[in-house]
Amino acid sequence: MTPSKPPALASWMLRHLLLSNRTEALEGDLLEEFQQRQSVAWYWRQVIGAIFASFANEVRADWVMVWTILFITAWACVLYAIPAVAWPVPMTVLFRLNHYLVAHGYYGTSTLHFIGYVFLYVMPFLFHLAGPLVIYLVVARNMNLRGFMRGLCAAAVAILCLSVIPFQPVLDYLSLHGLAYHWVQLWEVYEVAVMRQLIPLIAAMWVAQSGRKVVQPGVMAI
Amino acid sequence: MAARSQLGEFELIVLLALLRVGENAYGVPIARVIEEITGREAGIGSVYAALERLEQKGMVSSSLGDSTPERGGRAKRYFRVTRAGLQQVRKTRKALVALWHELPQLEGGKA
Repeated sequence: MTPSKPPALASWMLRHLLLSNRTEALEGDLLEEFQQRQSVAWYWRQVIGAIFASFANEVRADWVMVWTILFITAWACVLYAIPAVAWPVPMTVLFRLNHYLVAHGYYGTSTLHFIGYVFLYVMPFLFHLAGPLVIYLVVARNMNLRGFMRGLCAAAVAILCLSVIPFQPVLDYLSLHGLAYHWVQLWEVYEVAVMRQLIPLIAAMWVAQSGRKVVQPGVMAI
Repeated sequence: MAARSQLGEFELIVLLALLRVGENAYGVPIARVIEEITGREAGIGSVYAALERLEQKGMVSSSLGDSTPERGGRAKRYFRVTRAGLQQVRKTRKALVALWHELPQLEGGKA
């Protein structure tokens, strides 16, 4: 028995998952060809291929945006997966340095102590901003010093702007008026993660890429 | 703008198939021509995606036709190559022929 109608689920997917405004014409073409071939497998192959092709078109059209979203999502995961493993290393170095300085009477005065504190402040900056920005630009094949510096300046501006927003009084007010404690804790995590780390990083990535050369990946230049 | 006048391999195949079909070219005959000439199955969705990119680059224009009952009442979208598209195909052919010319590796028909 040969089917006279294409699979309903495939047609539904075509209408709802295709990232194009040509759905009607494409659906008509597939239906016309299906009447001749009468193959459900062929129809499914065509629908899945069409959805992937339309998605690929979107990626090509704005690959920087897609790449930024993918990168920031991956980095957000790394940000919370790595600290448990990565932070003890610089912290142990710092504590040992501190012990050494105290034991030798250098505390508060030595150059080593100064270097230790610089290290303490530089590490989070390298880990949360400069490091991911370099990885992002290198993988996007757009690593250049000017773009990198512009990105860091944008991150600094974002941090400054976000730090002047008075979140704490609002939070105090809300917690006094019945906001549950776990929501207050959650906000503190959110504030550190999103406001201080991810938003400045997104700003840095966006500004660093804004002066990029227009290159479409996978396109043959003739 | 340089980036907008570049042609991918599949885009070039679609443009040539579109020229071969001529008048009243839409997804199905274009895909059939590609299958006949290249010997590989061309997804109609991939053909549409390439045509959409070519339209954005100004190399192809399209218009909606009438709806027909065998297509479930859905209208056909007809495509045609624009003057800029034709110019780009000529330019590409010239570049490819120049690249192919006098290649020792391709002499003798063994490669």
